[in-house]
Parts: sequence; structure tokens; C-alpha cells
Amino acid sequence: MPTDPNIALGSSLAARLRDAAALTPQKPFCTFLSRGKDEAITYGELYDRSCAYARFLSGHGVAPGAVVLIILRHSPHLFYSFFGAVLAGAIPSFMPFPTPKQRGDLYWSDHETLFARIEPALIVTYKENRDTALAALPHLRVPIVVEEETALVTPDSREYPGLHAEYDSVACLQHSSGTTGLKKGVMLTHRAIDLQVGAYAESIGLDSNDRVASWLPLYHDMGFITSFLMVVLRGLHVVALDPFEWVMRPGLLLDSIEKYRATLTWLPNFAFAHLANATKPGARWDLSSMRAFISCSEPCKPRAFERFLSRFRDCGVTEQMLAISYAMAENVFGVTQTKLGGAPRTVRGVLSCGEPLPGVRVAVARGENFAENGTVGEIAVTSPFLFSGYYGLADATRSKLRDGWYATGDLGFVDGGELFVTGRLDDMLIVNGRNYYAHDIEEAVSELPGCIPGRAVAITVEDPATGAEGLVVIAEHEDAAEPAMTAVGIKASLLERFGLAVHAVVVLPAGRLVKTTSGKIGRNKNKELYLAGDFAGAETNV
Amino acid sequence: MSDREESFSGVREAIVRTFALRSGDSIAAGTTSADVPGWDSLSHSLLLMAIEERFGIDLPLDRVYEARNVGDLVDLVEAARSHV
Repeated sequence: MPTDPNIALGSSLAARLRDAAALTPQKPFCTFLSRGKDEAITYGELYDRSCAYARFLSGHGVAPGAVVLIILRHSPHLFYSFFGAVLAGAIPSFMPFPTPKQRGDLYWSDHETLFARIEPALIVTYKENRDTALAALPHLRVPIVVEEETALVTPDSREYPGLHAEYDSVACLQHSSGTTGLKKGVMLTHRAIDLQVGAYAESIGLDSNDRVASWLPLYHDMGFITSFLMVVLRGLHVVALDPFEWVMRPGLLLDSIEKYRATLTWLPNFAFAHLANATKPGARWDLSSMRAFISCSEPCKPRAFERFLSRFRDCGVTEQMLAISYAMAENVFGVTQTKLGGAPRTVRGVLSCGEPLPGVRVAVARGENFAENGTVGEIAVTSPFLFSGYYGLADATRSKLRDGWYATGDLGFVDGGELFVTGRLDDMLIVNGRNYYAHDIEEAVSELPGCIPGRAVAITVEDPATGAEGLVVIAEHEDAAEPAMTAVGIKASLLERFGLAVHAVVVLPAGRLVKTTSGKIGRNKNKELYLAGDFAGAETNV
Repeated sequence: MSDREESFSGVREAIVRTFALRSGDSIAAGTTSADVPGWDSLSHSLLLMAIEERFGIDLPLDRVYEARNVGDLVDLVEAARSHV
């Protein structure tokens, strides 16, 4: 629980921001980096601009309790529109935007079911994306506004309804990334967010001297909580980079750590390898200000840490600065956290994710029972800040949330009070921090010209060049289809539809994929064959 | 060989090396990342590093962001080389 006497428990997110702005209006909330420019945003500015948004949203008919979707690229409007919606008493949700290579019309049409379910009152986006939406979904009745339109609105001193929101009311929805089948809106109350931030802050010994550097997108729980809401609720300062610029120039994160003396950053596993690989070999930074680089949201691999450490040891990075968190939107964010200042343990080749946060309980289930220590089973979580359900999805909520426990779908074991995550129960694949179901990808491939329906597998394989898990699609082609053309079609289609760059496509003649005894095409068996080189020769690698 | 041809040839060479292609014959000004195996957003940063090393230049981030194909990358190299 929070120990700071200045923190008012029981207040809404909007009231917390108002109080921070009143107390320290000139304090920097964010240094916003984009295209080589730094823009400073104070707590006073964050509140004023958010009030202008609240007024704008109310003027557009957004009533308290209505859902507002925020689909923006890297822009300070992400912050303003979120708190604007919260101030208006509405329920904001950040959503991923189409990537430059994704086809905008497919992006919008893929969201139709989601829109029908959550019935947003309004969508905030950028102009180009609105134009695509209007062309792709002419029947969509949801008003779509463009971020610049709010610039004309001035805030006033009215009592915004969100300031008096109930502590147990839903503050926002957290939508998971990846294919549409995975997009479920996790309902988070003001209380859940507040308590999670308190527990997480305690687990990492967060104090007012901490400064966060982040390139993470806000539509994902890792960036949303660690590098936005926790920052605001604790009155901290975040240096926010554009995720797309970071991918191209990962050294930008290190530039900002050095320049702003940041102390904390959260990274998925692939980012550790990317930082080590894609920064110029001779380049050096002073990273000695850092307390921790926290790995989260992808299974953490010892090799990624080793590469990172060996590349940046002479920049002041030590093994003790490397930490791991196991987190999920259903628990707002953190479930477990390794102790800062001590390197994570490895057991049976798996890195520890640490002990549960204060108030969190983790159990490993085998069937109806809890497993003994050391036995692998499904990880279940309960906590005082567990989510209250998926928005508009009562059945999905019931199947995952039972007797106050959330069944995560992750596999793992407990050793010495620490959690070790070993894999997934279902076919979820994680590619560059985004989640996809293998069956969604396989279905999309099955529908393509030249492919045989039901005869494709999607797997991930570590790419030795980048150290990241890359997607490999292995598909059988019709006799009449030209293998190379089929492969090009698969690659282009997955890029356009999901914004997903495929690492390799293997197109085989009919009958080459191996079936399991139950007659299904098994992903694991075919992955083994692929790794053993069994498909070489018949392979068409585009 | 003109400056532009030399820039194109250097960019092509960097692409062949970064993505371990057998040859650069199919690389043209209109080639995009979707046409080249292994060219995704992560490996794009490795390509930029290879191009910068090949020419001893720094490519400006705001312009790199807008590059859509090999021809655009060659334009950036040309612009950077004229400032060296």
C-alpha cells in the first residue's frame, strides 16, 4: 500500500491529476521527443490541455460512462485526450494505429465487430486515418474527430464530472494488441489502477527522484502503466520517445537516458537484443544513472541479457541493473517483480520473474488442484486490483475469471517463492511484443490464392541476426500454383492485414506438412522439422 | 560511375550484406522492404547502420522516417554525401 501521506487514496484519476497540477504546476511531467525535437510538458499544461479536451468531448455529445477510443501516433494528444476523456467522466481506451505497411481499409474493416460490441461514443485519431475510416466504413455512425480540432477549445474552470467519479467505477479499458481475436477490453477501475501503482511502486522502491525513459506505445499495458499512469499518479517525469523512431534508431533511448539522467526503463525481451545489435559498435553512453532495465511482456531469455550486458558494460550497465517483471493487463500490470539491485536467478534454464507484488497471490494449477512447488502448470493470479471483467464479454470473463482468480493461459512453476514462466497453454505467439493467435494467421493464409485451406502452420523461431522471435509461415500450395508467387502473396497479405512482417515463408508441395496422430497439422512437430532443415530444398523462402 | 550510381550501388551492397542475399540483381529504385526476405522494422535499423558505415555519413532521422523504397534511401545518401 502507498506510504506517501500526500497521496489521497479514494480519488479518481482526474482528481489526482488536478491535485498534482495545483500543487506543482511547473513540474515537468513529460519531455516529449519527436523528429529530433524535445517538447517539455508540465503538470499544469497536462491538466489544462486535458480540460480543453474534456470540454471538446462533452461538446461532441460524449456523456459520462461512454467509451472513447484513442487511435493516435506518437503525439502529446495521447496524454491530453486520455485525461480529457477521464475528466469528462468517459472511459478512454488507447488502440494501436495501422502501421505504415498495413492497409488502412483492412485495419478498419477488421475492427467492425469490436466497434459493434463496445459501441464507442467517439474516436480520436489523425486526419489520414479518419479519411481511410470514412472510405472503408461508410456506414460507421461513430463520430471520428481529428486531434488538431481540439486546439481551438480553451479550458475553463468548470467542475468536470470525472473529478467526482466513483473510486470503483471503470476508469478506462485496456485493449490487448495483436490480431482482432485477441482484442478484449480489460475494464480497469480507479481503485485497481491506484492500488496496482502503489504495489508496483513498492516492489521497485520507486521514489520522487526516479525518472522514466520510454519508447513504449501506450496501447500496451507496459507503456500505459509504467510510463504514463504510474508517472502521473506519482508525480514523476517521463522522457517519451516515438516507438517507430526507436525501432529505427534504438540508440535514441540511450541518448535520452544519458541526457535526462533517467533511472528506469521497461523493455520487452527483443528490445535488449535490438539495443545491443543496432547501435554503432564504437558508440558509448553514460548509463550510470540507471537503477534498472526491466524486462517484461515477452519471455525473457538469458542470451538477450548477456548480449545487452556485454555491449553496454563499459557504459556503466551492471548485471544488478537487469530485472524482470511478469505482468498482464488483467492485473492492471505487474504480477511479480524481481528485486532491483540483484540479478534474476535461473532455474532449469529459465529466468526468474521474481516474487509476487505486495497483495498479489500466484498459484500454479494442475487440473482442479494447485500444483506443488516446482511442478509446471497453468499460472493463476488473484489480487486486490484484479480486473473486473472484459467490456461487453460476459462469457469470456466467466471463463477466465473464477472465484476471484484469473487463469492466465501461461505455463510456469514456482521455486523458492519466485515465479518462472515457461510457455503458453494455447497457440498465442509473441512477435516483437505483440500477441497473435497462430490460428488467426493460419486462417488468413488458408484463404489466399494458391494455398490449400487448413494446410498451413504459423510458428516463431529465433532470428540469430536480431535475437528476436520471428514469424515463420509454412504452407502447402496447390499443384497448379507457382510456389514463389504463393509465398510472395502470403508475405504481402500478412503485412497488409496485420502489419506483421514475416521472417520467412516456406511453401511446400501438398502433403509435406506432418500431421499428429489425431489428424491435425501439429505446429510443434513441423517446427522441429523446419529447425532440423527437413524442409530445405522444397523451401521457397521469400 | 556517376555519384548517384555509386550511391545506388553502395545501398544495394548494404542490402545484400544485411539480408544475406545471394545477389543484388533484383534490387531496383522501386524495391521496398516487402520485396526483400528478412527486411522488417528491426532489421531496417541494421541496414541504416550498414549504409552509414559504407559512406561514412549520418542519415537524418526525420528523413529516414519517410523513406518508402530503395530510391528514397539513395536520395538520402546523396543528400548526406553532399554535406560531408
